[in-house]
Amino acid sequence: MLNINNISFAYSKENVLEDINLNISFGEFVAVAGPNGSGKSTLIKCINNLLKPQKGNIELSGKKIGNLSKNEIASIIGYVPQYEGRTVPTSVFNTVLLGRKPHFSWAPAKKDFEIVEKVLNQLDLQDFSIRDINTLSGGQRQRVYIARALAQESKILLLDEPTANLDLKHQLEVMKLLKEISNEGFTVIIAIHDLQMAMQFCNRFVLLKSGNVYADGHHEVFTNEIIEKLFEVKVNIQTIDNQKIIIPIYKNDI
Amino acid sequence: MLTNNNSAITNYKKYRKKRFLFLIVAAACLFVLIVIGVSIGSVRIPLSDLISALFGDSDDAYHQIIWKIRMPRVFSAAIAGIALSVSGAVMQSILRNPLGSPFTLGISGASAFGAAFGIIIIGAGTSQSNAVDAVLIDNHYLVTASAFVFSIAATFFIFLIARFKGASPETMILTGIVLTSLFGAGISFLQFIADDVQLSSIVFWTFGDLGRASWEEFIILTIIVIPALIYFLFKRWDFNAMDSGDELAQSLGVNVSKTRLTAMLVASLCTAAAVSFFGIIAFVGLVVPHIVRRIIGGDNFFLIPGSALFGAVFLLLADTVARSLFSPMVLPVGILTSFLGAPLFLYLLIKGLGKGYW
Repeated sequence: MLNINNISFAYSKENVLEDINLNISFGEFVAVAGPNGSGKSTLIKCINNLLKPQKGNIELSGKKIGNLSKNEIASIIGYVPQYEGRTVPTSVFNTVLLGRKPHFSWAPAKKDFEIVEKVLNQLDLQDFSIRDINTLSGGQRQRVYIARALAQESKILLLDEPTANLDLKHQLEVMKLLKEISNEGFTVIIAIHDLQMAMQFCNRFVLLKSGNVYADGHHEVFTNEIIEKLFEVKVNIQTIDNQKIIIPIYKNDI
Repeated sequence: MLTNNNSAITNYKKYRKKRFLFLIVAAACLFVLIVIGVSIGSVRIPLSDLISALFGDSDDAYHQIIWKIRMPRVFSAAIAGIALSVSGAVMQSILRNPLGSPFTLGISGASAFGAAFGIIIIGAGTSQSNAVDAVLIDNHYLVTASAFVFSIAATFFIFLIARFKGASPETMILTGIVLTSLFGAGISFLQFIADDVQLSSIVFWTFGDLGRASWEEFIILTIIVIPALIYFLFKRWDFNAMDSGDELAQSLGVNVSKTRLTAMLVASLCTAAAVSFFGIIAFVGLVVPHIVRRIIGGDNFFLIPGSALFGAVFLLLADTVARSLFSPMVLPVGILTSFLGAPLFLYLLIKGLGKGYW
């Protein structure tokens, strides 16, 4: 159980997050959405203690995250940043092995290698194990980064826009993978812009507006009124094959 | 019985074996070069006489040449190569920048300024013409100390800036570049007010030259470099994590700013010592890690010892060539490093080894 209690965060003076309260259970697949600058990434980073909220606290199964050591946090929360950029040449196996870092001090042990192998097999990456990560496609690379977070064996996974920069097929693959992971009991929290993709896979939606939780719930949060007020665009929400489709309409005045 | 030969672990072990092989080959090359380096020079010592001279009569001329001249120089070349290239490898990792090296952070500029300061303001260097060595610096220690003090000062300045303004790689590199040009201006000024003899002393100092090596330099450098190397190896997984970005490293439990600052200080110290003793030896710190990374990849477990060995081999080779090319005239090794290294690096670049990377 992850409790976000009343946190506020400001980079300088102006609050980016204001009094956020959220309780997230194990196994939930949460999409954090909202306009640019609404605080999605900031919220993700606060959960991970990459950023330290000025007010409020975050509890993991009753323990305040601020009181945990970096390694303790790392063994509970895995993180996939939005953009890793071009890295120095390194093999896929090594990249995933990095996820074991919180669990070893001097050198990885046999168990760590075995976990990496298991995760590589699970994500169908075994054939790439000694390929240089820079030679993989964007979709494969994202899978490697997710594999690294899985190898970390943390119960909570945070991903900052995991589908950005991926084509449609790879977006679907990554989202399906994350859904499977959450079905296994992991808590998966993603920041995402693509509402359609989020609706199709996630089971909880936290919509942020200017640092506040504007709406929080299941698919029922996707109403014309909420989405129009949130993004300040006109939308037409239709249901096709039991699935909500959001059609944005460009108009200067709403 | 059937075993799965294609399992990821098996492949990874093969992958590691190849890299261990690289380290072994580099170590073997280093050994061979040490032997060659000791035996050749203006007096050629045949291999057969090498061992007997090494342990033989101390009045023997060969014995004197080997123990007093060749060995300090050869071992100093190796340890300076290690200091420079390992510092470069670590700097590039922790700054996530291909231009990262203690030189980019202003260390060489600062120590060159320090040497010039020592020669002119403190007055340690009245130079004399000499047939072989063009210039003599009267008080070698004073110049070295002055160079060292200034390079450490530059390091601490960057350290302080990083401390108060955040240790982002960009801040540190920009500060280093600004410092380099500041010290450059300082050197120009000192050169402008210097007399002919002082001027040639300054210029001569900036040519990296291992001819200044004695056992003392070797021992001091070793005392600094070996613990640094152990520290770097101990931190290799932290550096690996930082290669993938600060936030990711933090999420893996790495104390990024502390590790970056400490590693920067340690690497700078190694470079400062090497540069203060031997002058500016260009290229090694910057390009040796790039060459090694292109051959064996960026995993610091292999990159750090690989850069150490390759750096030692490279500087020793350059110095041996510098000593024998126009023998009995000895070129400063700083000139040779670029002449040898640039074509090698360009070859690797064009051949596309380690594609998709810096």
